Amino acid sequence: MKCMKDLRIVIFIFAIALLFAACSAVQDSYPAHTEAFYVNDYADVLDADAEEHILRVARELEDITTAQVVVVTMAGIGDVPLEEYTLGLFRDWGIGQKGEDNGVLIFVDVKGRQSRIEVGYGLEGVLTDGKTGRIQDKYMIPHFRQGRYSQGIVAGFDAIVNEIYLEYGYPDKLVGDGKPLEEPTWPYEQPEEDDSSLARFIVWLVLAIVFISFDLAVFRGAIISTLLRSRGRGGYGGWFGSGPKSGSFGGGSFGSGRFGGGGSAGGGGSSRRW
Amino acid sequence: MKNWVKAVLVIGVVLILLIIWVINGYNGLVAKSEEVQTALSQIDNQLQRRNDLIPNLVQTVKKYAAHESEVFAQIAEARAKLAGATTVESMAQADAEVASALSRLLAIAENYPELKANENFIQLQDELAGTENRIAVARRDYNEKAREYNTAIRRFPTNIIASIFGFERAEYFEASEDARQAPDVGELFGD
Repeated sequence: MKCMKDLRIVIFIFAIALLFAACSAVQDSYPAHTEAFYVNDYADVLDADAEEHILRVARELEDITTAQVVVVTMAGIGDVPLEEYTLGLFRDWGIGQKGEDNGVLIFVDVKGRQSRIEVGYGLEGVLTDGKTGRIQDKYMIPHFRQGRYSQGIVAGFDAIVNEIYLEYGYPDKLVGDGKPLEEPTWPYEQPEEDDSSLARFIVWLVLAIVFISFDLAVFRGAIISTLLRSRGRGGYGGWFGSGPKSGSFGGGSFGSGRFGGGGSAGGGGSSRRW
Repeated sequence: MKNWVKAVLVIGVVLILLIIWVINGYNGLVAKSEEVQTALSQIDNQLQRRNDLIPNLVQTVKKYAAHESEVFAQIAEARAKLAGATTVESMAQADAEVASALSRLLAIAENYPELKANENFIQLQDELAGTENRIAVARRDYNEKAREYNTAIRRFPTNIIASIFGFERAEYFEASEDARQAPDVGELFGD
């Protein structure tokens, strides 16, 4: 009896943990973000150095300020208007922290020759529409016209990250030497294992355990089984079968998986075509 | 003796369950209707934001195209109408008129290369495009909330509670088709 209970607890914990890792994959209309979250190079235009730079800088930015800056490149988005697509993607992934809404999405549609910087509610004050437009005009579009997507995206990304650092009061953290248009030469550090997402995971785990034991003790698991059943996926099997193989649970790359904090946006930002 | 005690107990339990159900249903409807109001005030905020942008934009354009007085008058008129709008429907109508007057203004600006290259104007254009986009988002969010709420008050059995307490249908934020000449502000950025 006791043993059964323990087993059930373990199963529920895994179901809950998987739920958090998988919540973006439930929607079908938008692609799931990569495990790294900050860089999603679906158009395959970024070189390895650019990806590494963005990953490292974005991770440090989130650790310091909690703001999330996410880069997405795609080769075509169909007939959907750009603004609608980026907003949907932004909300689907939940870029930025919940309640703070401090996320930014840099979106480049290579095939449609259009780009957009989508700004979460919380950063609209510092990244005004006019400023995001100027950033694209100055740092991104000139490169895009010549097909240098890596340089354009990195320069625009750096400019946005710097604005956010200034807003949060970290003028010493600025990246890209303040001269992002120059030939970019970044230090090629290895991204460090960070432990804050591990800490966050442990907090969730503890919360889940408390919640589940309470449910099991008082309601005999009624809340959990209702929750699981209401997803209409036929119980636990659905969770294990359909979630993305997140890697966080299998391999050793524990600290690197990240996901959105549940932030939202209301259509702030600006678009460009080239 | 025992039997009627049982009956009273059963009736009492049923009554309590019924009351709990009514309270729950009522509170659910209140929450939904509150969401509708919040979404509506979000539209209002964004309309106000656009309203605040218009004087700057008009001033900038006037510097280069002072004689295009007709479109300035149209904008002023539509703005006044929006300020006086009280119902959701008249708000939607006036919003559509302001948007189409503004898109005419921006179309005129196309004829003045100096204006088009003006940094100030580019900035204002971005702000305006962003605000139009925000209005569109707020409108979509509002209509979504209104649809949820309207569905809830019509669905059985919640509709019984809704009719007892007089919950009324929420109006959708929609302008009639002819007023909504979609102002494609984004188009003006192209090459």
